[in-house]
Amino acid sequence: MEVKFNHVTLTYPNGVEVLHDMDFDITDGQLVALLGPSGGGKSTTLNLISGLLSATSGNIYFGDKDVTKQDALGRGVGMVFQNYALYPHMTVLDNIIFPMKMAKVDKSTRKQRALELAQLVRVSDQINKKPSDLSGGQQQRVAIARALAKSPNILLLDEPLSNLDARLRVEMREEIRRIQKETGVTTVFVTHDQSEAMHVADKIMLLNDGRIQQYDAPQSLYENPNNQFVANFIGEPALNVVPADQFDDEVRQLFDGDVATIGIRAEALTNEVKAPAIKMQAVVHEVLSFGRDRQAAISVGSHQLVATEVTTAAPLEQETTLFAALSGVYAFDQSGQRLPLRGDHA
Amino acid sequence: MMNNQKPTWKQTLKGWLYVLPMLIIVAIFSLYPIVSSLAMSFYTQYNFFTNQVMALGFDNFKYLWEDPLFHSAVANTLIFVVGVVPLEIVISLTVAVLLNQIKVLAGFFRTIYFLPFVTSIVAISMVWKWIYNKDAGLLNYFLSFVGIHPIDWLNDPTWALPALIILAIWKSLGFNIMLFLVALNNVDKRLYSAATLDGANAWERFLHVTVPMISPMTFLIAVNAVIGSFKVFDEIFSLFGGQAGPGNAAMTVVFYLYRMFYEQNKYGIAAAAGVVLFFMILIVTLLQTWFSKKHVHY
Repeated sequence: MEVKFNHVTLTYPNGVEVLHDMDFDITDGQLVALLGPSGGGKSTTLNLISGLLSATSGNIYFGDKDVTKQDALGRGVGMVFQNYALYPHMTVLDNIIFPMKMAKVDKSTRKQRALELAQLVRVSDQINKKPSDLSGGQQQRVAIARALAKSPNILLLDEPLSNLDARLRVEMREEIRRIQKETGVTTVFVTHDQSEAMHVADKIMLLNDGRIQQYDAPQSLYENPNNQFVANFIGEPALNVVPADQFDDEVRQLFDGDVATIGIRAEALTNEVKAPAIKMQAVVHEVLSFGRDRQAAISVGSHQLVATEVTTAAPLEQETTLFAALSGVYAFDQSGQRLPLRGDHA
Repeated sequence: MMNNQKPTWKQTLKGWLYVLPMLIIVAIFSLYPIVSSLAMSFYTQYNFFTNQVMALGFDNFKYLWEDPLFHSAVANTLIFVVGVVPLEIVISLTVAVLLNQIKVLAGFFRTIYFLPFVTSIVAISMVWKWIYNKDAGLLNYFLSFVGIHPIDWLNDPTWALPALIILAIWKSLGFNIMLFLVALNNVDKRLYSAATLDGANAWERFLHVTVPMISPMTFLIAVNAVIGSFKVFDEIFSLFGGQAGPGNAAMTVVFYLYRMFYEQNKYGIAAAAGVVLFFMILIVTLLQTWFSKKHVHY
């Protein structure tokens, strides 16, 4: 189901406004990630969608229906909690059945549906176990099945992968995507891990300070950030930020506006020219290799930079010419807003 | 040190030395009295002061089997247990749930409810003697509002046992409320959020989340209440002024035991009554444990 926020704000009873003018649409059937640092407003936004929190002003629509005043139950959301919140005294099957039991679905129907869901999330062989006998990944699967049991309008997942170890995380994020595509249910999940969001989501909403920084497809967020925060947050290693005065006028003239800082992606810095690039004088201190990854420590003037595309052929500890591919170079004004390339007005 | 080696003699000895102090205390003050009272229940002719046993046999148990006073003591004890334990659990759980809902004054109410537990049973009985008074008592005063004629709680054999049950329930509430509050606080709040989203209303959340989640504490309280109720004595002694109620209407097994031992010096019979009580408690506790295997979720 489509979710629409119409200028929604949230103010806590102590008078602090924590979410400012949230205005967005979640397309029906999409998988959307709410991404951002702690305290950015991700979980708060999720709770506003779920109805566990209610908006101070603005309207929330599910499809054409105004659900602003409805509680979580009335909105028909399915939720997977960060710690899964499975009922520890019930078997896996009873956990999945519980929402249907509360909805007075008849016994044979709810059992059949629970078995189907167990199959969907691949815990069919675990249905008679208690949650405590399952691994973290299996508990997560059960929690998803339980959330899907009442055929929710929208599925919400709060930090679904944060309690799992690294390998399970990769497995479960693929699973979440698979289950979402198989059921077609509109899904929103919260994460602070950009790579999780980039890998799984159809669209990412990047939040900071209670504001939407950018709401876009994952690749657009990376290639075309709105502002310095987005450019900084997305990408690993983080964006290299250098004051504009380190560059000559020629570089600053490339951009339309008053350039305050220039951001260079680590993967745009190279010692071999390939694409349109700006030239810069830098000193390469060391180049480390980790499996297929490389990381070079560079300084430009007094600024330390990290580059991933500088080869071991680069001479160390002496002034060299490096190139920063223009597609990975962003200019920002004083307030952090991205400045477009000159003559690049869309 | 390696943990996978077989313990040496020296290590085993050392281990026993650690347990020894407590073991000695338990042996002298628990095991020895239990064994000797079990033995004493078979002494049919016995001089308590010289510890001389003249004859052994089952006569003590035969006496109990035939004594109508002991029969009514057993019956009263069972009525008392059945009357006290379920109500005690239901009322204290209800109060605990209500208390758990409020933020303000919760500490104040906790203290109030806990007072009976820290107050001497003698003082409590004094207060209840007044509450139960036929003419000036508070209870009859309140009952008169609903048109019930004054009841002589403490002198009418029909009402002596109910009066005792009411007192016992009231006295146990404070401590049980405290234990239930601890258990309620330990229930993961997110389970309630999950259950709410799953469509459970307040009663269903209580039934499907609270009750199973606090079941270990309920079991503990139930076992404790059953054992405590089987052993009821001081409430009777102080409420009825050293008597077992009007016409022995509040005679229980422990009161019977006390009377045999201290008043009539029938040591063997007292010991036999103790053995009977022990087996009564044992059977009920075993039943509870068996029941808990199915219904208590740890």
